[in-house]
Amino acid sequence: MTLSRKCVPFTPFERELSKSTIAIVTAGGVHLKDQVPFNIGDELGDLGYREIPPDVDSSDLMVSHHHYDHRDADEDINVVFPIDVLRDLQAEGFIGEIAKKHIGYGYSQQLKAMYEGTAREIANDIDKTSRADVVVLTGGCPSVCHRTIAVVQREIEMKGIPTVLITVSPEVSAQMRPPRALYPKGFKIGNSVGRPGMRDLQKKVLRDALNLLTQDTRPGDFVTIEYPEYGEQYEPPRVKKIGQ
Amino acid sequence: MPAYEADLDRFREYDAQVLGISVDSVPCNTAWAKSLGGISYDLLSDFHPKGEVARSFDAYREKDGISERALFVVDKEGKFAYVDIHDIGDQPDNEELFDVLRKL
Repeated sequence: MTLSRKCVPFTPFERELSKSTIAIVTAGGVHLKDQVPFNIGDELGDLGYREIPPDVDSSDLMVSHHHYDHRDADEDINVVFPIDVLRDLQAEGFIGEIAKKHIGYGYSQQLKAMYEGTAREIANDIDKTSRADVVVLTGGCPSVCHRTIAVVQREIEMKGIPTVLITVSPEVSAQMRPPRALYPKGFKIGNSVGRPGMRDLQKKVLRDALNLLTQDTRPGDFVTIEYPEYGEQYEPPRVKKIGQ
Repeated sequence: MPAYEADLDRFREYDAQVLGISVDSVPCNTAWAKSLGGISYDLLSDFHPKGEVARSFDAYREKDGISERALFVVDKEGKFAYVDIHDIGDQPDNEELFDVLRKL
């Protein structure tokens, strides 16, 4: 039996954030500089993923992705992979621990293999080795990655780990029915958590995303929050709407 | 097209056969499928007379010489159960199709 995407997996969050361990999974093509880069030479993309250790220096991270403008992430990786932001929230006592493993993967248009292979492998890896109580996810490119990340999110949620997606392509992500999602209104692709260097804003976005876990959200809910301090607003990518 | 490939098992569960059709020639379709990493459902070539099938489905763009981006669900009696002609940039939700198939 295959699960309809209208059926949304949902694991209630029954802990306290201040005592919880958080992992990050991103489809933004993030990896360590000394890891094999994602294959951007092949239009089919790369089905692999890279494990990122908890004590990583963010300056040792880079992006290999050819389907979104990642110049902001090159400047400040936290805009798609908020590891330093997570550390700040830990120092403030907002969260408990940083998970023992985080995951980066990139673009692949081999959707069947991604959904039935990579997504499940990532979920297994997170489940078995990260010790995460919660997973925060971010997308990469506007179309494919913002779909695949929601599939990864659903797989992790089905392992019994609550998750929250920060999406800047909400209509695309919505087609895959993620369990919980925050849309920071008007943020452009490649700025999932804010602009480079805007640490206060990045913290606010991550806090808001994590707070969705403690709110009584319905499975599949998207919460839109405006952040005027972000500045210039961008229209999100559109998809064909149901009934249109 | 990879999105239909990814959901092929679900289409099969509804006893539905997925077919792609374009006005391109068979070698073009073959090359295109290869560029997508392979497609396991059939791609049909509406090449000669060019666009005849698309015209009969009212989905041929005379000005551009190509067919529309369109989805059709044809029931077992050969009748249209669903027609959707959409913009090239649209990404229709397969769940819409499953809703139709569920009711056939």
